[in-house]
Amino acid sequence: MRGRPRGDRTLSADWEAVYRAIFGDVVRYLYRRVWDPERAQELAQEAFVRVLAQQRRADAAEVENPRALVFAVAGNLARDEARTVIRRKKHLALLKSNTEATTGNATPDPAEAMERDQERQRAQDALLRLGERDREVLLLWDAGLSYEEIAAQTGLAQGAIGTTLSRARRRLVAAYESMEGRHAAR
Amino acid sequence: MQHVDDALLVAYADDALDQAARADVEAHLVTCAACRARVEEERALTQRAAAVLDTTVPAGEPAMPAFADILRRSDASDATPSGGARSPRSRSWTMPPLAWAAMLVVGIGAAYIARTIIVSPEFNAPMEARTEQAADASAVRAAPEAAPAADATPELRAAPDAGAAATRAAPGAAEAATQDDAVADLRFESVPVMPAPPVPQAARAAQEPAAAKAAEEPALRPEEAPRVEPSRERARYADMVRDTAVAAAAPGMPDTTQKLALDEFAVTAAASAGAAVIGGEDVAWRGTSVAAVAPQATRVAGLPGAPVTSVWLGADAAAWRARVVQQVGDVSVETIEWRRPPAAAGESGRLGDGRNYLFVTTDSVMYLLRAALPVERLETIGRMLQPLEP
Repeated sequence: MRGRPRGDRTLSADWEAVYRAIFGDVVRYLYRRVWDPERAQELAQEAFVRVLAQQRRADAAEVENPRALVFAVAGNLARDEARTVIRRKKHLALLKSNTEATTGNATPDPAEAMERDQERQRAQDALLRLGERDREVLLLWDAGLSYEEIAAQTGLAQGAIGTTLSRARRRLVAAYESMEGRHAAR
Repeated sequence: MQHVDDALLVAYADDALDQAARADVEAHLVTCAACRARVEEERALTQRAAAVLDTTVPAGEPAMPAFADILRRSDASDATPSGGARSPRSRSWTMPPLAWAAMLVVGIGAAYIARTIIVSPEFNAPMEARTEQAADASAVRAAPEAAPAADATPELRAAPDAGAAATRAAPGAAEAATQDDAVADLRFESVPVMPAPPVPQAARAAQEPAAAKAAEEPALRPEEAPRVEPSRERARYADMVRDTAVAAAAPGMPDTTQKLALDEFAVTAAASAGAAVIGGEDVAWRGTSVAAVAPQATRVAGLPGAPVTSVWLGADAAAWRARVVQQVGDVSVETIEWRRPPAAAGESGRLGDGRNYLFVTTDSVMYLLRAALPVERLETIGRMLQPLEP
């Protein structure tokens, strides 16, 4: 699996395979960074567009690890995304349009839907409680990256990935369960 | 072979070892039941964490545009900047309508920002009275710079709840705590009570330079730093206070700002070193004084143009993150970045202590105004605040 620019503006067919294999993982990873399904979709596409555009340049260096490159670009896009206040405003606008859009939809079982919403909210809150580094390592692992790739992307030593992951998992589960407990008590 | 160390054991459980290392671990596991149990435990933990992670995302597979589309766009983006490029096929993540409804709620939780404006009850009080209160406040903490912090913090730690802690900390804060209680009375039950605002002191102190240092809010104490343990339950208010980075006006310090990754430990370390810290979505800024972080604070959560008197960074990121306190004329304005909607827009009413409250919606944010003023007056103030928005 490597993207090798052959001659002028040609790509190895491998990129299509990479795209098919990891697009869903990239979207999910981005969703947990920006918490907006549409935006996660757009950013995932954007990440591939950027990587491919760069790869099509004749002088582009051969990529050793296409997957890691895509996630690195996706991570940067997510960071840029989080930077602006504008995004919040967009969220609220989106929220408004979603409200309008969903008003007409009949939900078969509102109680069940609500229960799921609450669980999702709880899981999201638990994830947001993690430290930035723990969360990033966990998300990258969940997206399918190897220890080595995670180390390269986060700048952590490869030997530290395992303990970081383990700690992140423990904290995530503890936070989720504690919120479950509080929720039940209310 | 000794027992397998944690890093190796986790890597083994994750199947992330090379063949030689794996063989070593397995050789040990054959003879060691304790380490086998640890591996099992690690795997069970991994499964539970994966289940929680799975719960965060919408069900179903995201729609995947044809690779040809992506290729075409990458071609076009050679010539033009790709930043704003949008694919016409990017409009939805394929999922059933029910899931869309669920997504809506997640969206609210993640992105909701309500700004809470506290119109301090001394809004209409004469200036002299306020100066007098400032003297009281400084008397309570009459001591060199470090002392008030050292005094107040153990009280917070021992206090059973926010109100009690604030009451003992300072007279102005007590009243602020009452405000928080009042808000809790509204419908904030899912949102942890905010720490008592330090504002009034800081603001008044600015009017009286002699009292300025004494009125400084306690920053996170260095000895508390090791207590920050993210995995611990943080429902209790006292814990939240302890884990909250607090900055107060510190005149005369050089203004420098540094960007931090919003890592809990980095932020805590910065705060315990006495720096002002303000958190945003993904990053935090650390400065030597409030003046240094004020521009960022304003950008993240504040009203441009209004002087920032203190900055708080919430440890409970699930409920709130940044909290910026500013002075707009005589009004103490508190801007809080909420993660959950506190109430419906336009709602107004009377609080238990006789004050009125009003939720004001502008085109992008929601404000909560509280004051011993008629609702019509609050509405006027709400309209006045709108032009202050970025």
